[in-house]
Amino acid sequence: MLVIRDLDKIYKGTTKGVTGITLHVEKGDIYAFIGHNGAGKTTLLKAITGIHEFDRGAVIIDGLDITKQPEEVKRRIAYVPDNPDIYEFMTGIQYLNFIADIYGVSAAEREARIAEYAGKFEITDSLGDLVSGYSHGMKQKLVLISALLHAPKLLIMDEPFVGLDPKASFLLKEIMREMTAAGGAIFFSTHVLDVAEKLCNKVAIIKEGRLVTSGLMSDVVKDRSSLEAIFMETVEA
Amino acid sequence: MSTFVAVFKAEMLNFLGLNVYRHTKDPSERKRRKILYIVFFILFLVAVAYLAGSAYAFHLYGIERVIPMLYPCLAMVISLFVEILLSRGNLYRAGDRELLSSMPVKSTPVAAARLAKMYIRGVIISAVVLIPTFLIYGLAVHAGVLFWIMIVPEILVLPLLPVALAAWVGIAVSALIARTRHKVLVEVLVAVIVVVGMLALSMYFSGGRGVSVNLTGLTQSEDGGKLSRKEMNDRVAEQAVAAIERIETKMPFVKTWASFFNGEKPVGILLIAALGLAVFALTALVIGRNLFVISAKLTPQALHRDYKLTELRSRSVTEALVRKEAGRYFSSGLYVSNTIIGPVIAVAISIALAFVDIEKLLGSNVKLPFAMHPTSFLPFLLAAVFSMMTLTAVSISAEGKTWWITKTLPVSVGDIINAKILFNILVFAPFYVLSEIILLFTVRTTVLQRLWILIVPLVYLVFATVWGMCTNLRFPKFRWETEAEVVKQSASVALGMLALVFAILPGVGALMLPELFGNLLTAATVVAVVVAAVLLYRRIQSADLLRLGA
Repeated sequence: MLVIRDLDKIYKGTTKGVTGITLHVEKGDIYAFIGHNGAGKTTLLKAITGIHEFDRGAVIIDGLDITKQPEEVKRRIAYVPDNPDIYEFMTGIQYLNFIADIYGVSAAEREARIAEYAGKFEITDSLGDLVSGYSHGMKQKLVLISALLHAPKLLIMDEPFVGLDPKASFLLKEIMREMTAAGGAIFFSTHVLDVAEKLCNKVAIIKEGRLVTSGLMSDVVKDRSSLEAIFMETVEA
Repeated sequence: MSTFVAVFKAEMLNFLGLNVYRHTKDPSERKRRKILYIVFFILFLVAVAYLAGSAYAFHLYGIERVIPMLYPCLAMVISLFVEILLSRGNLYRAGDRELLSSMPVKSTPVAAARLAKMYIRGVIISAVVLIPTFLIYGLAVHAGVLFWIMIVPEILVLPLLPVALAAWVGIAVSALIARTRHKVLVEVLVAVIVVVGMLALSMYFSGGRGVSVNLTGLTQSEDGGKLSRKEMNDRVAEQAVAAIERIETKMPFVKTWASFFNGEKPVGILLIAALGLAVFALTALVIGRNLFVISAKLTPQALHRDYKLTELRSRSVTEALVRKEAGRYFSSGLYVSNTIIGPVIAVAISIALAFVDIEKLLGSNVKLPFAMHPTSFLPFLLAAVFSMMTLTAVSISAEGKTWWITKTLPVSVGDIINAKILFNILVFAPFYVLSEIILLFTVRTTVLQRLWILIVPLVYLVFATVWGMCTNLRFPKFRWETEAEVVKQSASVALGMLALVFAILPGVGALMLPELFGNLLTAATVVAVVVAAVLLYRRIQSADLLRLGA
């Protein structure tokens, strides 16, 4: 589903960024991407979603190269950023309609999905209000719903659990499992290692812009006590 | 006091964006700011040269005594105008309200610090106006020591009143806006009323109530013969002295005002300082008590939580993008009021022509020494006001933190750019159509001139829209705290306004040339502008949006 091959992205005038990243996300994977602050998680996520250009390497999603067919690739994916910065001048429903229009979601489909997800996240009655009045958690829920509207094959998320209440976190995990069970894939960054260990079948750890380990969760954790122990060993090495 | 100092330091830290320039690691950001500072510096040099030149001209005509009367007023008017434009964004910005409210600080020192920042800007304006002009005056009249000593206190005193007055205007407008649900509409209406009111006042005073000058009499003797250059200069000086004397007789306070600044009665500066400080302190106190309350009222209110999911409708990508642009645009009073002024002025001019001759509208009661063709200038005047400030010069920067959404949408660069261009044209089109319909009834002219009135503003409207898009693509600004930074102070807006200059220059040519050559110049300009618009449009279709904000 997602192939990242030897990717370099260095910010101009600095030495910061990511280098030599190679990673495969298969259909059905819930792939956790972990690392310390400033390790390069967001940089990589933005590069594979087409927000940032990258200097070298390739990003292939569902068999398509993001640099050659960016629009086709973007139709197949959805991105949830670390900060839910969305159009504050729109109401919740206007924002969802806008995203649905862009992705060409039919009226019937959008009605069904909005009803389903807004109902699950319990924000239906707030959809008529301006986004500027939403709390961080409500904005995060709205971004999640908008990401799911066009039924993406690959969901890329940057710290998706931040700001969500326990019920919404539980729901998101359920949705992630349902999506991957239906043949989709998820690649997301997180600092919540317990969640990553229980939820994901694969994990990658990044340190100072380089991937230090990646693969099946069971292979990475092996006989160690937890993902947290592995992470601490890795970043302090 | 410590709160005031801390907030003031924070306010001044990024004055003119210097802190970002100093610390940014982004080479393109650094380059953009460098270009902006070079533009500022050139504008500064032009302003100083213009002010010094005008003061020197007064000296040449023997009326240098007008300098200490005129330029302090000019400094105050500029400060007042600038601060009225910026006061709401400076004083009541919502961005850091919650942060400051959560801190153990009172709002009065915060308001005082923000006012102090406005005052510093006023001091800079006063210095730019007074130093070159007073230098000319001092040297011309061999001024005494007192005059030279008083320049610094004068520069410090002049901005007090305008800044305080601008803050009160800000309070009045903010209070009005805070009380209504339709905040954007009220903000736009206030801006339009102020601008149209100023235009109407200007026309009222130029309609025969000012000092009339007969320019024909400056170039011809009583028997119709041509005057020598020296004789012409003498006549100009005579008329200028006579005009100043009439002003001094009719308005004696003007002479008193001048005596405060020319070293005769420096104690007057103390009076202005006392009055200014009192009003300034009162302003800080009143704003301080209400700062966070007003800021809170200006930001969105509590949720209604009463939405019922009903039938939804799907739209095309273009319609969705245009509607998104519309939502962004109409959500910001500042954005709307700044861009809508040009089209409103175009309609106002069209209506005004029903009551005032075009000659009077353009040249008041000045009799010119050679034939001019104001009707030939009219299409360019309309083109200039339509090109004054386009939405496209701001529309990319206005996306700010939400730029990630546009970048991740599965749409082409052309779709994004075309939607922004289309929306700009949709906003201006009703004003263009209305203005043209009114002109059909208010201006009587030849078929060809009527055609130019129809075509020239239209091609300039399209060109300015594309040009604005180009400047914003070249100089986008995604990191901003207040909308004023992108709507009023960005490089793309400054460069976008060059479209107005592109309209005025050929317009002046058409005004002064014989009608035939004027028509030829207009035709050539239309062709050139259309070609430029097409070339620029084709160029921006392949813009690299990924590079922007990366």
